[in-house]
Amino acid sequence: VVVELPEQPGLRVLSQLVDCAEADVEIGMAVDVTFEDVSADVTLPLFRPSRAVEGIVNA
Amino acid sequence: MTGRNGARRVAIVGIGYSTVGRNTGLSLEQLTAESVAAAIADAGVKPTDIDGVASHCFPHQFVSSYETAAMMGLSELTWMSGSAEGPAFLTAGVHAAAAVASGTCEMAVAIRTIQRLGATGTGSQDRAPGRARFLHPFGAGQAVQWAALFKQRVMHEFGWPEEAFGRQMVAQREFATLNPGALLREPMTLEDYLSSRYVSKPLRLFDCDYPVDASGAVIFTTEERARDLNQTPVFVASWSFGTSRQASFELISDMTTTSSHVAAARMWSRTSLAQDVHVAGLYDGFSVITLNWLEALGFCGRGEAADFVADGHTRLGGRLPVNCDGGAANVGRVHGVNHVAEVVQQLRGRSGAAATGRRGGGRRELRRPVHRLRVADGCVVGELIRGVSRRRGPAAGP
Repeated sequence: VVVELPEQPGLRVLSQLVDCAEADVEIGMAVDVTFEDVSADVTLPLFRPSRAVEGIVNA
Repeated sequence: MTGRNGARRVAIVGIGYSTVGRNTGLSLEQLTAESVAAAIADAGVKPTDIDGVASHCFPHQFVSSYETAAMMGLSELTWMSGSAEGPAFLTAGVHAAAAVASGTCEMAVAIRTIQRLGATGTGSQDRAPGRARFLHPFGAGQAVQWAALFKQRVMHEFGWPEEAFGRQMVAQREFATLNPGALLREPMTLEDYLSSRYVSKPLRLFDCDYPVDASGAVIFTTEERARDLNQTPVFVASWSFGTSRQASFELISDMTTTSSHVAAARMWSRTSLAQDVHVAGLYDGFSVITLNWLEALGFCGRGEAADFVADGHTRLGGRLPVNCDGGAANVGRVHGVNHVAEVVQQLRGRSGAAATGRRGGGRRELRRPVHRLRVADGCVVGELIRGVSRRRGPAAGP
């Protein structure tokens, strides 16, 4: 997936969407970052469906 | 005769292919030698007439110009270009045309040699270098993954079903069934397309070109030289490369308006010829790119390529037959040289039928007989367009 960061429009990163069934994937959906350690010294930023609800950020 | 900015007018006078196949067992040098020899024979020139060499190679499949010149007994080279970037064969083709136009050399051969194995191997590395560090760790190091993103975005923006892409691939297969040189010639239906497997969803196997071992060569020279040679010269009317402002595909803000649009607009601006195109060769490494080119070149409006294809315009008997050799999905992934070769043959008329050597002739039946296009100019456009041919002057019907 390509993710645009709300903190800086136009800043995009390519990553993977995790914790989400394929049928639930939608273009434009809000996602949160999550970090996965793939080795002792490599950590990848991945994304999962946002848990935030309106009015509550990063609940 | 000189053209724009005093540049010399350039003609394509020879085309040639090597053996093309899945596992030919031929080296890069053997493939290159076969295609250059075929192009030289097609043009009816002597090897020593050629004083310029341009090639486009994957970095790990490089054949140098010096090696090619020595192998083939060419003239001492006055100019050479070996590139690994840009629009594949057309990088070499445009470099060669520009070198002739500018007087840097008199006759140049442009080459694309490619081997199936190793071209897209995933390999295994502990660390991804450079830009790849932002792609490979996330499983996105291959062309099929960005093509899948491209297709996904276009489907989302325009509301196209997968059939939009399938219809173009079916149309190209229909052409391939008439081309003895095509590797895939069995008739294909839309159902066949829709049942092909996903290689990176929503990209299907039948959206993709067909990896092969192959080499193709095209010879460019001046109008004066061209008039004395075997073949009806096909003149190059205009060319352009185009880029988006992002170095990396995934950063492009609008995947429906691409570098192809930039290249196309500039190409049209550099020629006085009207948009009277009777046959087109549009890059088809992935089907979404071909549809994108239809819009970029203005053959239809934004978001209208699906309907344009569905209406049958790009197929056999349509008003703009596209990729009449069957395209890279059927004749093999030769990275654009096939589009130039095919359009040149169409413009030559039937005289070019035997020119592709081992690829065979087998001309297609266009609604407008090809011989009506004999007085014609070939347009070569970057970034990914492989050759658009058009007739000069007012339309002569039918």
